[in-house]
Amino acid sequence: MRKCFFSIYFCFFQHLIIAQQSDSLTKSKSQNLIHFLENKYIGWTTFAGFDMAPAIDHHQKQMRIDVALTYQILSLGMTYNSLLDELKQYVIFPNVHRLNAKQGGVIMGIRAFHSKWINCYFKTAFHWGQMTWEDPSTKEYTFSSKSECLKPEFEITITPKFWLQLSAKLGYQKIVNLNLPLVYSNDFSGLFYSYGLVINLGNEKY
Amino acid sequence: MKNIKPLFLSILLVACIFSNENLAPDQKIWNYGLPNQFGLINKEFINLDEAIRNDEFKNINALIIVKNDQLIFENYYLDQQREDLNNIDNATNILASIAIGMAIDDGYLISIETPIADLLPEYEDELSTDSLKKNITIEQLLTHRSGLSWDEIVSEDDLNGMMGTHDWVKYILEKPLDAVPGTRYNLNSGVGMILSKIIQNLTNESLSSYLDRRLFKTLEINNWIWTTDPSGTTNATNGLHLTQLDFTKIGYLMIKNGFWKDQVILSDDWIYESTNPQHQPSYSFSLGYLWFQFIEDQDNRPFNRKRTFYIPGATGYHLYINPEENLIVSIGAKNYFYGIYGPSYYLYISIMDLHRDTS
Repeated sequence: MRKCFFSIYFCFFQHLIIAQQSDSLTKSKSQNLIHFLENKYIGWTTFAGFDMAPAIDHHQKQMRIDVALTYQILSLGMTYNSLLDELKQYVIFPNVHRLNAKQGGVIMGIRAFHSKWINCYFKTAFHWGQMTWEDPSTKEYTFSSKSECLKPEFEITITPKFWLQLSAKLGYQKIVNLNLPLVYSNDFSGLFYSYGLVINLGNEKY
Repeated sequence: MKNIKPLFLSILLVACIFSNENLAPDQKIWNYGLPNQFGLINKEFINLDEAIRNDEFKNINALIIVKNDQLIFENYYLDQQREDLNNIDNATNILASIAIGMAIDDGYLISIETPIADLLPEYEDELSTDSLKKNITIEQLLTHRSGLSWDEIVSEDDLNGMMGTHDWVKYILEKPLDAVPGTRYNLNSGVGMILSKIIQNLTNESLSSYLDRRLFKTLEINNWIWTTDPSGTTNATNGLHLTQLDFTKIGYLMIKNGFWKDQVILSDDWIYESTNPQHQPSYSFSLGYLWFQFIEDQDNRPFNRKRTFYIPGATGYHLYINPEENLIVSIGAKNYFYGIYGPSYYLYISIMDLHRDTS
């Protein structure tokens, strides 16, 4: 799965660079990157907000940041999230441990609908990361496990300003390969929702 | 703006690369549980933990409790960590007892009634000093009734004397008899060395190598140190270093009657025989094959309706197996001045008191 995402990621950038080179026959190759960034079809979006995602028995708040490169209706970028809420419980009695979860990965999407005020996207993220039970007093890890996550989602953005948008997402996350005592992959799998702000640095206004 | 854009990518890349410390793998034997899952009171165990932290039990450095196949308590004290190896002192003896059972299972040894003289031809001279010495059997070694003169309770002169020689087995066998073999109890941790040599002669490999092959690998005990005497014989008197979790696995094997993940490692006949009383040398305990048992009419009788057996290491490494409660209590300590029935013993009694409160 991870290889598949990397392949898509690589092909996407390859496609953009080739397109850019064909558009700049009269310019030196050293200026390719600058022109690549100035291409009107290419832009950047940054999402900063919160995921309310399943974690053990409840939905817990996670900080989330996405940065994506957009090309026409496609987007591809990177995403990072980290558990904010404090989940404490006995892991090895009588010691209480705190769950710490961080994940990062790639996210790709397609704009399904757009208008002056509302845009809709379908996106899929693939995360890999680390969950730990840590000692709250020393903050040292007692147990650690890598995990992987597939996260399809639907996003709506409302556009009060072109460069600043309000975003809401609804999706499903599936965690796999988690190997920690007392918690299982299914404890973190399920429907989630997100809210936050999108900063749009696109060169083309739609 | 065009300078900011690549910066975003860089920041995100850095954010995604977070450290992943290499931690020791978790134990894969027991699920974790809580005392209250088994009718016990969490708060009482937390109080017990606090008492250990406050050194009310003196120099306890580890306590592990396994109940109904779940690890319901595991904690370390006095700067100990889970992965630390500690010398289990003369609790090492019990590995020699287990090895004898395995040697019988493997066909190396026919019976524990075999005289040790038949198995230790290289010590014929030492065993010839008294005609009765040749009659000492493995069974008598396993029940501390060899009759060999040995002082381990009042002083440690014999242990220290033995450890000052090249061949520890020779030192023990040179000791005169002060009782007819099989008639008198006398605690002698040195017998572990004789048993170690017997295993070496029977299997053509050292005790540590034999048990590594037969026991440790199966129990996933991968991190251990076992010293030898200067002649190269595995020190089954007090030479084994284990983590507390691995020490606990030995108790778990016993409570499972020799089964480990559906594999028979040690016959249940041997476990039954070795953990049940073979004789009662004291008003307070009886003895199997190096395993101790509580006496029925002692204060702890309510928790000993069936057999509870244990190995009390001299410095406080104690392993208590209570089949009736499906309970294993594994205690680590460094107490050099309290003897066998010191703080570790009283800690076990306190744990049983917590069972009493709920029964």
